Amino acid sequence: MDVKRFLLPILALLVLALPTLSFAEDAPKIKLGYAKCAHCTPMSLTPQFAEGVAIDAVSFNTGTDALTALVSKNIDVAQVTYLHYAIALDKGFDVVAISGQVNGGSAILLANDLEIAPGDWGALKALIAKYKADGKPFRVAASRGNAQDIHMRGAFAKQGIDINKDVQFINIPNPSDHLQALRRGEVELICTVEPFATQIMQAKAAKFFGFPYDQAAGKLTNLILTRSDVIASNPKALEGVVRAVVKVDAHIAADKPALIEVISKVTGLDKAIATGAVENLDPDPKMYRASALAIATMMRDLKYINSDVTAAVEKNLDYRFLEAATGKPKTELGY
Amino acid sequence: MAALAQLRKLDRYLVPVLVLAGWEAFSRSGALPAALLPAPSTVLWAWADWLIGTDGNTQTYSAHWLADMLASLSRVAAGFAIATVLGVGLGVAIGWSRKIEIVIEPTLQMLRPIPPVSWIPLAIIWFGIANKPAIFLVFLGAFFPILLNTIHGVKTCDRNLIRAGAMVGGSERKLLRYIVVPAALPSIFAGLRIGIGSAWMLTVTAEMVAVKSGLGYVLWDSYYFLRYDLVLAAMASIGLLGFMSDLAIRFVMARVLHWQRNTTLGGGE
Repeated sequence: MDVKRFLLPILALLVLALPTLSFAEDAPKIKLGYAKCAHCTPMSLTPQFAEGVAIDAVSFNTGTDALTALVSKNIDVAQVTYLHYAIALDKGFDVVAISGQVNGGSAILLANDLEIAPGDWGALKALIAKYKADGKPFRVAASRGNAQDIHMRGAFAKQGIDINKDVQFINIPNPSDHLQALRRGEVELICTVEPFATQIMQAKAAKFFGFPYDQAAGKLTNLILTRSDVIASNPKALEGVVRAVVKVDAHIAADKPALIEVISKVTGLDKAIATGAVENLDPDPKMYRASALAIATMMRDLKYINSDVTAAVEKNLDYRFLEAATGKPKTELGY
Repeated sequence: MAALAQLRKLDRYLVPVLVLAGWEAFSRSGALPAALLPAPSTVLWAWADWLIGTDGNTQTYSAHWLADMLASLSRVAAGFAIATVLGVGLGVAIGWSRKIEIVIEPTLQMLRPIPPVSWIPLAIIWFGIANKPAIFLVFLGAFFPILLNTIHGVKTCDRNLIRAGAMVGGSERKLLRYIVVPAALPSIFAGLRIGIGSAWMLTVTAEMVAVKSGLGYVLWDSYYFLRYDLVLAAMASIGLLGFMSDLAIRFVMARVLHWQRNTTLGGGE
C-alpha cells in the first residue's frame, strides 16, 4: 500500500483544521444544562451565540434535573426557575444567580363548561363559593413547586381565594398530563405552562381565563445559575455565557419566528402550538431582586422550604456578569 | 461454642452495617454537600418525622407515612391481584392448550418488551388521572413474570402424571385441577415473587401520574424540592415493603407447597 498517498491528504487536512483546533483548545469550556420547556429551549442557541467560550448545551427533562446536575458538579451552569434557586439555597447548596433568561409562560385555564368570562375574578370567586356551599370540591390543578404553581397561588391569594380552604388543590406533576385531566373533566381549573397551555386551548380541552402575573412574584420564571467555584475558576467563561444568553434573548425578542422554530425543533411540537406559546413568553435577562425575595417569602409561607432564605437570595444574585454583558449598571438590571 | 454460634448469626448484619457506616462517614466528610447525599442518620431523622411527626421537618408529609404506605400498598395489592388472576389464568390456558397458545401468545410476547413507563400516556387516556392508571401500570409490571412462569410450570408438568390421571378416567378439568396446576405451583409462586418485586418497582413510576399520595408520589415530590433525605427514606420504605410482601408470599408458599418447605437444591433442611 502506498502510505504516502494517504498521508499527504491527512496532513493537509490537519493543517487546515489547526486554527480551529487551537481555538477550541484555547476557548474555556462551559457545560450548560437547560430544561425542555418552551421558555427554556432558546438556551440551545447559546453555543452559536457564544464568543470566547465553548458552550456545551445539554437538555434535561426538568429544571430539577438540571439543578441536580449543577450542584453535583456535572455541569457548570444551569437554567432553572426562581423557585429552584430558593430551594437550592434552602438546602445549603452553593448556587449563584448570574442572569435571567425568559419570563412569563403561565396561563390559567378553565374547564369548558364553566360560564366565566376571561379575567372575571368576581365570577370565579362566586362560583368557588357556590361549589363550597354545595359541598362540591372546586378542583384546581398545577404542578407543585413549579413557577406556575407559585404564580397561581399568589394570584389566588391576591384575589382573596384561599387555596387551602376554598378549593381542592390537585398536584399533576407532569404538565403534559394537564390536557387529559381537563379533557376528562377531572379538574375545574388549571394553571399550566407554555407550550402546554396553548396546546390545551388549541385542542379545545379548556378555555383561557387569564395570566396569573398580578402578584408579588410578577411573571418571573427562569434564572441562570452557577456555583462559586466556577466563578472563581472561570469568570471570563461565565461572562461569555451571560453574553450569549443576552444575545439569544435579543435575537428571539426581535425574531419571533426564530423562537417558534427553536421551540418546535427542541420539543418536537407543532409550529401552530409554538406560535401560540411565544405570545406568552417574555425574553428578559434581568434579575428582579424584589420579586425574587417575594418568591422566597411565598415559598416559606407555603412550607415549600424550611428556612428563611431571603438574605441568601439577595446575597447570591451576582450582577457583575450581566453588567459586563450589557454595559448597564445593576440598578438598570433588576436590582 | 455458643459465642461462636452467636457471632455467626450476626454475619448477615455485617455487610449492611459496614455499608451504612461507610455512607455515614462519607456524607459527613464534606466531600459532597450534605444535602446532596444525606447521611443515614439524616435520612432516619426525616423518616422518623414522616412516620410519627417528630419535629415537622418533612413539612406537609410529617406523620403521613402510614397513609402514604397504605395508598401505595392498596395500589400494589390491586394491580398485583389483577395480574395474578389474569397471569395464572392465561398462563394455565396457554400452557395447556396449543390453540390458545397460537392465538394469544404472539400478541402477549409482542407486548411484553414494551417498558411499563411508556404506557403512561395511554394509561392516562384510558383511565384518566389518580388511582386507575397507577394500578394499571403496577398490573403491567407484575403480569408478565407471573404469566411466563405459569406457562413454564404447566408446560414442564410430568406427562406421565397426566397420562396416569387420564388412564384412571380423569376429565380434562380434573387433570388440570388435581395434576397440572399443583405441579405448576412452584413455578407459579416463583412468578408471583418476581411479580410482587416488579409491582413495587412500578409504584414509583405509577405514582408519577397525578396521584396525591403514596411512597412513589412522596419520592417524586421530594425530588422536585431537593429533599434527598425524604427521597432516600421513600426508597428505603419501598424496599422494606417489597421485602415484607415477598415474605408474605413465601409464607403462603411454605404452607401450600409444604412438601418442599425449606429445602435447597442439595435437599438439606
